[in-house]
Amino acid sequence: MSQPAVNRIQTAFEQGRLTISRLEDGSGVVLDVDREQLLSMNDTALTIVEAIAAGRVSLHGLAEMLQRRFECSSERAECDVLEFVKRLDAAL
Amino acid sequence: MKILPAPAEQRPGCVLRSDLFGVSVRIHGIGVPQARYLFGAGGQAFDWTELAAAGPVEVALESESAPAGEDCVTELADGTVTTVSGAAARIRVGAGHRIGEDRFPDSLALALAQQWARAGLCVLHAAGIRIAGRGHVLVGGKGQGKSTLTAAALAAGGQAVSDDWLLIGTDDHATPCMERLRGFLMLRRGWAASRLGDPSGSGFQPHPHRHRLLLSSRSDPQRLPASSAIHGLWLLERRAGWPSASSVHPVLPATVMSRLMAGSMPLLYSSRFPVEHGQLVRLMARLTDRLPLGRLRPGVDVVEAKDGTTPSVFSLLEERVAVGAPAGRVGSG
Repeated sequence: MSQPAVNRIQTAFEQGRLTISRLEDGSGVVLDVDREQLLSMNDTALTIVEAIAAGRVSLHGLAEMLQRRFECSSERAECDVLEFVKRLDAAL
Repeated sequence: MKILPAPAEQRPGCVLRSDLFGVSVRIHGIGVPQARYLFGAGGQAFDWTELAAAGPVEVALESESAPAGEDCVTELADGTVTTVSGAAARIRVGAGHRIGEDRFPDSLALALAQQWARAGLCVLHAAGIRIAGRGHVLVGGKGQGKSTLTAAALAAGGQAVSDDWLLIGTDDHATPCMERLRGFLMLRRGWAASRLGDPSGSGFQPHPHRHRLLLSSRSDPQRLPASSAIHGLWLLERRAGWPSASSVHPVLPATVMSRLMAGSMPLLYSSRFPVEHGQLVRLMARLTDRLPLGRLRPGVDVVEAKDGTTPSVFSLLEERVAVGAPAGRVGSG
């Protein structure tokens, strides 16, 4: 169910609809120019979004990346990715 | 911001020069008297829609380079703006375009904001005040209390740069600074205005056409400086009514960035404007990294302080600035 959501987010980046603005502390804002909305994100969320924007579209791959970067369990990483992707997709 | 004549050309033109930031923007198609009128700095009244017959207005950095990217066309109520990242903007006014009650056209605001963004400057819908010699930016939309807090700052012996639009950037020493864009303050009539905008003492005068009070920025340069360094940045949060006391609360830098983007021209942060996006994000990073930040909930103390005393809301801001509270660590009030 969530893989299509990842694909939709990635397509939105490809089309120029979404743009990331990152601050030095790792947090940042994603602009959805079509819906004129601004989404504030913490470091973890922005890391996932940046990976999707860069073309990493496998849920498994995203979870692995999160696990390596934040040294968390694979279960935790998968859970965080799934939850975040669902919420972001619903907001778009 | 100085409004100067442009070099002689066939059509009228002007140059907006910021000495503070060392940036000039040329407007080809709008003369000095018309520009002064639009910016509320005197000038000569004119009908914006007359431009429909005069050809497009071009807005550009004075030291224009000409890298051309993909056109971005934005249709607004008062004009069609064609922009290209890193290049000049053009405004076409057609027969169907109309200007709103606020005399400043959205199309010109977008074109100017893009050019200033190229130079690393952000046009921000915010109030700028000075209390005890320190500058504060108050970010908020309509009805959040910008004008009321600005009038309260004046009533408490402070200074006001602007109560609506500011140009934000950093000076030669990388110090965050603000400069006013319009030549007046405007206060909505009502409870707060009756306390703060009394024409007999504050200099505010009734607006000739609207239910507002006006104060010309040229009337008192000492109280109404054109620019200031910024020492604190606060997001206004006002719900229904006024609480009994003002308070300041912590805020995350990303939230501040989001509000700054919302209060400027969000389009310029999109992938269609890579040059402007890069410049503006660098500026946001500097502001959120260097300035004390917080959410400000203004209370009735804003308008109930006795003459000559400082409302507690300004004492709160002063305390936060004095301790140099880093981003996200502003204590609750």
